Amino acid sequence: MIPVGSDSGLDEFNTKYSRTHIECLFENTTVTISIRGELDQIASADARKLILSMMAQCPPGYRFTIELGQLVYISSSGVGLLTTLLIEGKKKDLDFRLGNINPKAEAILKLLGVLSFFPRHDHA
Amino acid sequence: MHENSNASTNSIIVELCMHYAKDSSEQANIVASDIIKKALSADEVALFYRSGSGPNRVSFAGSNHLISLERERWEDAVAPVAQKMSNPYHLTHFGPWKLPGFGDSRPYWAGALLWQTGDSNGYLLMGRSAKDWSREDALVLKALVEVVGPIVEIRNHEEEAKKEATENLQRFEAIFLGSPDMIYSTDHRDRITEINPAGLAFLGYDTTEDLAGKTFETLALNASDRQNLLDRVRTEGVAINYEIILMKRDGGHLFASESTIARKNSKGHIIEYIGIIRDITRRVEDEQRIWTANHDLIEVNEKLKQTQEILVQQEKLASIGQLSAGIAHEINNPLGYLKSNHNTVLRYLDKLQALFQEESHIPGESDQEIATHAKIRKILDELFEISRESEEGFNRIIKIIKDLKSFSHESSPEDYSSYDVNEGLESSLVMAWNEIKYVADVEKNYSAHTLINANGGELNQVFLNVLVNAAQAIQSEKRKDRGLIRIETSEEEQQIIIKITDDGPGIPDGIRSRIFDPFFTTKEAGKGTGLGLSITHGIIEKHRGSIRVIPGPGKGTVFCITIPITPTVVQT
Repeated sequence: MIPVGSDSGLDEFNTKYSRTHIECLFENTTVTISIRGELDQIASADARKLILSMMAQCPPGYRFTIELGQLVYISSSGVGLLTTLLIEGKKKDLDFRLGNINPKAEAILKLLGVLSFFPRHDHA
Repeated sequence: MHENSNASTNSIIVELCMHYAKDSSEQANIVASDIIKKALSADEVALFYRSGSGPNRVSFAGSNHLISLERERWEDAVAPVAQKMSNPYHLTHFGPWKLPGFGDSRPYWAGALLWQTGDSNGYLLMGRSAKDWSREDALVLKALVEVVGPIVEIRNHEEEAKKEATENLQRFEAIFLGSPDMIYSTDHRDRITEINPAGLAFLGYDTTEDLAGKTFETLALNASDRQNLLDRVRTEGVAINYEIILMKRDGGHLFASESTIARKNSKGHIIEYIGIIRDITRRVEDEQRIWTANHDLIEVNEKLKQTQEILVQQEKLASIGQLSAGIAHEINNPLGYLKSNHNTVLRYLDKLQALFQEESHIPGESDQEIATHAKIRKILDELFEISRESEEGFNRIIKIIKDLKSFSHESSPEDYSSYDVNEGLESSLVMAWNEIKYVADVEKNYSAHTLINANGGELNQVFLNVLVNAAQAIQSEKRKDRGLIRIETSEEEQQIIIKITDDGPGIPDGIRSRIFDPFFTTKEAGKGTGLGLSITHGIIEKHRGSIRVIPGPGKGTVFCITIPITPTVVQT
């Protein structure tokens, strides 16, 4: 079971970074992490620790989706974070996906040649 | 002081003021010294002034040039008398004395401190030989010093400030022009006002005029990124190492890390933005290569792992296939006549029983005959029972032989036709329903397009095997609640993916790699041949697909089957 809230470090993160907001939704065998706002160099480093710790507690076979519908800015460190999560997800036998990528973030991922790495989970 | 003296003093002051008003250069101090010399009939007049960082200056009456003194020289010349003059504008008499290195020795000297602020100070020194300085001279001198002192002080500071400003400007110019990073400024509406040569080179422009007046966001790949950066500067005062992608003149991209501040006027309104941009394209490209390499590595590892599993499985299956084909052939012949003989025995038994029935209905039997009949009936009953068991044994052997034949069966292109995976799953579900209905609910999530070219009969057998396995796994837990079997189909990259997930006990890690091995079973003896999943694996292989078993979410098992939409028939 993944802790959501104060125990997970989410509250601390969201308090520290006013321009980045992370939410975690745990439902049956699906974990959805929403990253909103701006994923800059400094926020990416802390987000990496936070999300990897959530991933570490996720049993194999779970769907682990990073929802990026409201991510309006992503730095190269942010892209690095997503590729790290993809690789760690595969190592842990998770069904890792990106969901509803904001067009601006999508353009950056495409420009950096990594968009095709990510399985998608787009929904309305 | 007499009235005439006052008038004379005033006229000297006016002359000094007019002179300073006309000449704003430092040279004015020489002429001022001349005026004082003349007014007070002095033989020597010298103005010494200096500031902490500026030069040490002396202006002599009668000289044409200002003189700059080394610090040591200044100390030698002025320090001995300066220590006597601690109060500004207060006249001090001393002598005989001579300006070290300048002029002659004079018996009568008068001097005054003009100002003293930190390391900055100024002195007026006058010497003469004819007569000592009178009280009247002292009053005139005091009046003149009060005028000259502030003027020289202010001008000295101004000069110093100008020099500092010039030096700072040169320093900033050197940074601006020589910086390997881009330095730029924009006005309050973010229109470019200045950009250094490095910036022009980064972006592929020749002159500042090519960019001046354009809003900075027109250079950004995403205009909103620039707005986000400015918002940070407005609200937080600064943006540090903010990454932005800029567009070059030739259409290329520049990955940049920018730090920006805003300059504000006295009312707190932003008047310009000043930013430094570092080209991080190479770093990002290096990272890009690492991301790609890591991704490729993990993909290759995964494929390697799958390939290894497949190779091991294929090798096992190939040898088992050959063996099973041989065994099936060898057993099939004797089995044929054994079964035939068994059927004949059964027919004879039927006939024997019919004859015995007729015989046993003859009245007037002796007790011994009755006992013999009872014994024969018992033997016949046992023979029928044995035959039924034999029949069951024969059927099991026939089933095993059939499976072995299926295991080594060769597919031909004619066996392949249009097949809807969803429909196949539905019909398999009907077949397996008897196993499932008491133990689990079924959830379905079908993709719209699952039409492939396949041997439908074989694929139905695959789905049936997996569904029955799922139900039996759930049943093995003997739990109180109902289990769940989830069936999903999806289409990805010209492949149909079928996932059948159960929430049963799962397959222990230690045996997961063996479940496709022929004759491997975890079921109790007699409940399974151990060939079901081997056949399943073989069928999927024939369809150029793959079957993987992975742990289910939390618990249970997921069978993940991938079949190309148009498989090439594999001759096995």
